[in-house]
Order: sequence, then structure tokens, then C-alpha cells
Amino acid sequence: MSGGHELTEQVYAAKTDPEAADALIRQYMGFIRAEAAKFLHRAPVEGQDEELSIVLLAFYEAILGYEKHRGAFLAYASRGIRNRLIDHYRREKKHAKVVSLHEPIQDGDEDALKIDHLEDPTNAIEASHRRSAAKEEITEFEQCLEGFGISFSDVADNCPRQERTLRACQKVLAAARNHPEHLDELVQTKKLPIAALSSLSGVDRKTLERHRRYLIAVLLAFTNGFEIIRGHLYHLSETL
Amino acid sequence: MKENTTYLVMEVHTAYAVLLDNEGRFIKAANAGYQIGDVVEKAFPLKYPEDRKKQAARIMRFAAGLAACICVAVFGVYEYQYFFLPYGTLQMQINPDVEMTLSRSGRVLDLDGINEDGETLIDGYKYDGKDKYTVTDELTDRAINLGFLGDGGQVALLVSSQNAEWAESLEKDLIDELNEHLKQYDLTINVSVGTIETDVLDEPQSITIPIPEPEPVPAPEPSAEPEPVQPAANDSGYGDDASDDLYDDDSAGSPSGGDSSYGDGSYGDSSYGDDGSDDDNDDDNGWDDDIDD
Repeated sequence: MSGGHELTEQVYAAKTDPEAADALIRQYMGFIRAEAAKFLHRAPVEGQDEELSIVLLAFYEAILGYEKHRGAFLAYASRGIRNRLIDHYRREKKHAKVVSLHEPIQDGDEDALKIDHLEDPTNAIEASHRRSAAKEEITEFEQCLEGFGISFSDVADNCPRQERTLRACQKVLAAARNHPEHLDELVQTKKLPIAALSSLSGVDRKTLERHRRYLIAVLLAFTNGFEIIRGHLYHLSETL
Repeated sequence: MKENTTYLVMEVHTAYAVLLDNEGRFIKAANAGYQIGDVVEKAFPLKYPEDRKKQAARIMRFAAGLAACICVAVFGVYEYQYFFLPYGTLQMQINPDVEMTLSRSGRVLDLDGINEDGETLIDGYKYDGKDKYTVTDELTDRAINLGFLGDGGQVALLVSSQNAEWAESLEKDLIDELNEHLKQYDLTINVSVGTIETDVLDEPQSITIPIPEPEPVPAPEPSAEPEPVQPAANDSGYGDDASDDLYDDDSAGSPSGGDSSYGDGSYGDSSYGDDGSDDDNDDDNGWDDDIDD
């Protein structure tokens, strides 16, 4: 019983702390693999089996959704994993005719995968350079956000999930870009000028307050120095 | 989510990665071996527990709304029928005669005067939206005021409907209500179920009664002796009734015992009578007798 109580405490700690969540997931990796194996009927291969990443995500969802009155955590997580995998398979049925690149083919006497026989049109070196540059910029962006006391996980949690709210936040961004003094004010004071942006964009003040962390991240991306990230937001630039 | 959306991997954790899509959404998604700075085309986003709750609440709201709409539709139709569709008629006979069309709820939908007095009674009367009891009471008041109903008068109520139970119950209720209402008047009025048997015609009618002509009484005729009819001077007597009788008497003793050919007109028209030998022949009638002897 004390083990179960300890696990519950760990789960409650992992709800708000991403590091604690990572630690808990690593601790229960055996359980997670076993759950994936139930569906695959074999041991999952990391980096190859999509199911394993789905099961990991489902375990994290179970951490976020768990309440004490729902019973034992592992039984709850097991149910969540099962449901998530069923959903995943249903969704993937649409692509049933798609052939996996990791499907083995007979090539002479040796077993090989299809992907090994395909030519990669991308330049691996160029892609590696681009990824390094992007990683560098993202790290810098992360550090800037840390100056505001915000992590990417916080931003993701604070990101509007309704289309209408997202459009409202994009209006705020458009207003800030038309008045760059507010972007400078954000960088200097490390405070979001909610009143000014609300009056300029016509978006309700409450919406700005509710999505403050997300707005800071997006406005910060449109200040100087984050070309790769801005380049990635081309759909957003079309909207603005 | 637009087509050709790609995701920039911003942060990587054991169970998930934070991705940035082209529209500026930061999402947590399954980490399929991603590295920071990767651009991926497919993502399995995290489902937040609060979103699940909201979705469940939304489904519940939708289901409740749908159920409410169905209830409103079903009960709306029922209520419409209950309040606005004709369910029966109430005939009120004082005599003025009026007929009310009633809904099941007892709302008066239509009011007609059956006879001329009935039309006079309802003339200018507003029954819209009124209850059957109110209309019955008010029409009785009007009948009293207009002089149609007085002391010793009678009011007959007859409810007709496919639902006999409803009609019967309504008749009882109406009689009770009307009796209660009439207590305010110092009048003795009989309220009953049914119709009033009356000889008074509903409408003035004209009837034509034919009067037959009186027949004249014939006077009694005095009895008189029939006068012998004298034959005309030139009449030979043959062919007349009298001569026939005479001739028949003479021929009664003839051996033939019946009508002999001698009595025929052809005999009388013979040339024997033209030269005066007729008389001799008549007088000489004895030769027949001689034969008989």
C-alpha cells in the first residue's frame, strides 16, 4: 500500500513538473514496453515502432489525468494506453494501404529494410547543418523565454487550442508587429503590454491574460534574431 | 490545420516533444525519436485531460440540447393539438341556439349562431382566447339582458365529441358552473343536458294550405211515368228499341225459341215493307201462330 501511495505522490508531482514526469516515465519504462508488447505481440523497437511513442504519450496523458479516486495509477494508465492505441489504430486504418519503409525485403541472402534501398533526396550534411543552426536558434529562444520564467512546455500548455482563440492571438501579434515599440517594450520590461495590445487589436483583455505565456513566446519570436523560427511560421505570416 | 503543415521540434522529453507548427501553435506530441531542430510532417498530439472533460461536457450539452429540442417538438405538437385543434362542440340552447367549437383544453375556437336569435346573441361578442366556462356564463348573461332568458327559462347544453367520456364530463362541469353562475340572479332557470323540445320554428316559414271547393248537393227528382215515344211518321219502326221489344214479344212464341232471322234489320229493310204490305204482314201475323198450332 505504501508503494502505491508513493507512486500517487510521484504522479501528482509529475503533473506540474516535466522533469519529474520524465523521471517517472523512465522509472516505469518496463511497464510501458510491456503494454506496447501486448498490442504488437513482440518487444517494441525504440525509434522504429510508432506504437511505443504512442504508449509513452498515453502514459504521460495518464499522469496528467490521474486523480486519487480513480483507483490504482498503473491500472488507470493501462486502460488509458489501451484506449489510446485503439484510437491510433482506428485513425491509421485510413492509411492501411501505405507500405512501411521499415518493411523487410529479401535481398539475396541478406535481410534488409525497404528504407535501406531508397535514395534520400536530401543532402544529409546540409540537413545536419540546418538542424544544428535551428537547434542553436531554438536554444537561444529558450533562454530568452527563461528570462520570462517560461519554458516551451509552459508555452505548449498555454497555447490556444480553439481556432477562434488562436485567431484572436494572431490579431494581437499583428497589432504588435504594426507597432514595434510594444515588442521593444516587451523585451525591455519583460512584461506583456496587455492594455495597449488589447486596445490596438480589439481583443478582449481576458483573452490576452489567459494566453499571456503563449503570446510572449510568439511576440518574442518576431523580435530580431529568430529568422529560422520566423521562417517556419510562414502560414502565420500569410495570415498577418 | 492547414495542408502541408510541418512541425519544428522545440523541446524533447522522454514521453513527448514540444512542436511548433507553421501557424504558431506550440503542441505537445508523441516523441518518435525526435531531436531539437528537426522538422517533421506528422505528429500525434497530446490529448489534455481538461480537453477530454470539455469534450464530454460538450457532448452532454449537445445531447441535452437535442433531447430538449425533441421534447419541445413532441410536446409542442401535443400542446398545439391540445389548445388549437377542434376536439368537440358545445351546443347551447336557450332558445337562441349557439354552437361553440372547443379545443381539448376547453378553449373556444369558434362560435356560431344556429338560428336568428342565436346570431343576435353572439353579435359583437368577443370569444377569442376565452374559456368554455367564461363564454357559457357570458352568453347566459347576454341572453338574460337581451330578454331571451327569464324566470322559468331553460338552458340546454349538449357536448358532442369523439371522446364520449370527455363530452360527458364536460357537460357535468358546465352544468355545475352555470348553476353556480346563475345563483347571482333571482331567477329560476333550469339547466339541463340535451336539447329543448320546442314547437317554435327556428325560422319564419310560409306554408300554403289548399282549401277545397264545396261540392253542390244534387236535388231529389220527382218520379214520372215514362211517356211512350211515338215513332216518326216516316219511321218504319224497324231498328227502334220499341219496335224491337214489340217484335221480340211477338217472336217469343216462335218455334226457334230464340232470335230468328226475321227480326233482323235486313228483313225489315226488305222491299216488302215499301209497298204497304207491312201492315198486312203485321196484321197477318197469325200465320205464325197457325204454324205453331
